[in-house]
Amino acid sequence: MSMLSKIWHALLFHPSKGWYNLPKTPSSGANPPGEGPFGAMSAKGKQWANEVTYGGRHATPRFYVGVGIILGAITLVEVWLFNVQSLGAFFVPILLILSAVKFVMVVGLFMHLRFDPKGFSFVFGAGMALGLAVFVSLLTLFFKLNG
Amino acid sequence: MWAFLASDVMFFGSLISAYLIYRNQSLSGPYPNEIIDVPVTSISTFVLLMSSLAMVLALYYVKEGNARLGRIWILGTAFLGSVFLSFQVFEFNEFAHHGLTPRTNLFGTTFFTLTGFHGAHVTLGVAWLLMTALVATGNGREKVGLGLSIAGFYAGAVGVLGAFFDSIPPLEGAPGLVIFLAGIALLLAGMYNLMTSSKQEKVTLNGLDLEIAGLYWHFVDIVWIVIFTVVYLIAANDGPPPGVLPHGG
Repeated sequence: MSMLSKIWHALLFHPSKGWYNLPKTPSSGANPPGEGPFGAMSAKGKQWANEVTYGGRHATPRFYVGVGIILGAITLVEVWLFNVQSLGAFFVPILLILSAVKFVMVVGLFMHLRFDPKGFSFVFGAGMALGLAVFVSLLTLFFKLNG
Repeated sequence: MWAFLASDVMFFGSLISAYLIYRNQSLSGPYPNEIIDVPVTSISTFVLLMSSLAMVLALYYVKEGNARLGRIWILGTAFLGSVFLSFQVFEFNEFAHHGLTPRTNLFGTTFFTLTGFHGAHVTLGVAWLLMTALVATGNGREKVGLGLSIAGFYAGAVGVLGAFFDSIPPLEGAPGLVIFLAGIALLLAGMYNLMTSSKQEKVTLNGLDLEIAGLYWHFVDIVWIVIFTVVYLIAANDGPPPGVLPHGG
């Protein structure tokens, strides 16, 4: 090696020599799967969500009735929140979040989009995204024009 | 059907954004805070949610091969959808009595356009479900019986709305009562035909057809979820714009 390349290597390269060993298994690597802010909870959470939305089995009437009860309960909570005076600025975001939860439950479970081919999700999602874009653009344009 | 639903999302998205753009812009009343009745609309929202549940149960039973139970749940879905429509008719009539029509002010125009188009979607859905149930019915006598029962039910509902709730002006009082009684008679005739039919033909329902009808029905439900939140919960306390006194003073 020439003098320059020796200097280059000395400055920039670190031979391993035990300083850093390549991991033998994924879990012993620097970023093992499931490691994150919630640790292995994210993987367990996904597994739980899969099980509770009946995984690969066919949904039973009991499951659907359970979802219906949850939807009704969320509606009751929304109407109760309507009469709560102290929510202030949190009123609209909370209602929007509850409605979004109901929306996702009906679309994902009753319309079983969650279990259908991903192409359907893309088609519906594209329409939703366009609709939302029109919605946001109209509101922004109107409020910009009117101050 | 998913592509159609995506296009319908854009349609309702533009109507909802038009409602929100014209919020608090009406120069004269009635205003939402004077007229919107959240408790009554909450009941109709719950009814529509339960109709979605009935729809998914109908699809479950049809896919399991139990077409008879499937047909019962389809009729249940259509019934709950019709109850929702009755609430809408009652509400529109109440608003009209208080002076709110599509021509009154911006709130009236946007509100009736949005909820009117939604109601039209629900009506089409109910008609679709009833046709599905009728087509799936077995022999002629059973079909006649079901048809008479459906006609009787709707005649009765129209009569009740006209005679007892004054929601259909031409039918207030005696005319509504006559139609109600005619509806009862048709319903009884239909039930008699249903109960005395031979039921020998196997009832069949196409799962895919019902699935598509179900997608449409659930979509109508999720649109109402958004409308109820935006129009009845978030915007229910809207009044006149700043600088305008209530009642256009």
